[in-house]
Amino acid sequence: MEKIDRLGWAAGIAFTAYGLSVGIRVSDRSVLERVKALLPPGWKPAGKPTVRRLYSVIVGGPTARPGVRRFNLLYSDGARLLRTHDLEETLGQLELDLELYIADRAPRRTFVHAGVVGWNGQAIVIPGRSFSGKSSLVKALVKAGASYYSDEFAVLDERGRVHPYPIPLAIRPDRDGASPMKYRAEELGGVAGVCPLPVGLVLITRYVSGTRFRPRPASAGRAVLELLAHTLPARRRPGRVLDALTQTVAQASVFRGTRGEAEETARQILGSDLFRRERSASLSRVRASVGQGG
Amino acid sequence: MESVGPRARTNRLVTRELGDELIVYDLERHKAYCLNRVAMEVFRHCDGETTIPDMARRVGNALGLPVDEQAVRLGLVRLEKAHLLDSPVAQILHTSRREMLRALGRAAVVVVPLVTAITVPTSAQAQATGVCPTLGQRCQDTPDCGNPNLCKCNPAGFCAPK
Repeated sequence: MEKIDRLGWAAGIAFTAYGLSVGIRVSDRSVLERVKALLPPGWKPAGKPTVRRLYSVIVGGPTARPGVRRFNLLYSDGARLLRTHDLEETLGQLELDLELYIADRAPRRTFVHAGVVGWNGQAIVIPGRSFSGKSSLVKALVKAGASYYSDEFAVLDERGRVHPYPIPLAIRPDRDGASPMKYRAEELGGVAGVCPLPVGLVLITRYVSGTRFRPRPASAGRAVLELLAHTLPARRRPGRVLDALTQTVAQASVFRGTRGEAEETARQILGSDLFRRERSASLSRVRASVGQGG
Repeated sequence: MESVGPRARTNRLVTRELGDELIVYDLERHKAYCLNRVAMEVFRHCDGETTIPDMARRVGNALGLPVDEQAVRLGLVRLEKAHLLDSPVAQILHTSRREMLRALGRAAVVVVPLVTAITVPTSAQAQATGVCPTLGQRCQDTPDCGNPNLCKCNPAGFCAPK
């Protein structure tokens, strides 16, 4: 770390996000604006110069010697994360590591990989990793009138409410190897949510071509397991994570099933009564499992 | 004193009740389980002193339904498989696990104790997008490069896509 500290730094930024203070310093001032575009939603300039985590970006490029290029280097505190000639790759890794740090360490929030939209004062949470099809479904729900909360993370508080994390939706084009297209909610004719919402529906689904969407009720416990499988800080603080997840699903309906095309699925979801918490159905499910032959 | 009945494990477990279900997190194995109502009642009555016949009666009282010993045995087998019991079930039931499963397979178990399991991912695994999340990092700094399904250590000693 001391070796890195001794290098000359052209510019930097210290900010807070989700209860964490982070600094990013760069060796080339022209890169700073691009770095700012990668910061998490809701970031604010830090009031103090000391931070909990410090990223250092050393920008490479040509040297005086023909054919010789300096590497771009990325450090997290004293640990080197990346060494590459590709600046885009460097900034991509910075964004990824910063996202992981915030999602894993935020003291009062639980980050779950999920798509989230708001509908009639409640949130629909669709757990799943990036490129699992949830972004397409989130996009379709927003175009159908739901408010956009996130296509990346459900950010849960201790009361089980979900907060907005409105990074642009990333939709992967059909052709292989192409970069994802990014959309703001307004570009889709939708609106971004601003207030935390209770969760009304947890939908466990994945895209299967040609399938009709026929969701079946699932238990709250099943929803907790599904959310837990996509929760970043689960291993580090399992007790607090379970508290947040059980609060989240306590009042929610839970359904599961494969889906076909996103637009048709979105219309079915928003036009249905999936949100109604079926307490009587859950009791009958217990009795049904008791009555079945084994 | 030797136990007359099965005993539930308590160390290194985090549990949360959720209506008719019980969520159990195993801190040693980083696995999480959802026990349905029947399995939850069996687990609750594993105090080292309750015999199988007594357990069947008590679980049945808790559920408001008749529960036979086969259902309790099935629940114990599933709890043992999930490492949620302190002692091997076969030892308590004086039979091998294979013989027990064979007998259960022939029986008609009306009440079904269910134990659903997942492996809890690390942060890097949970974040994985299908590309190696530790791309470019030194292998020695990150065990398995964070996700052995997506990454490998290249000859230069840096994490690379698999």
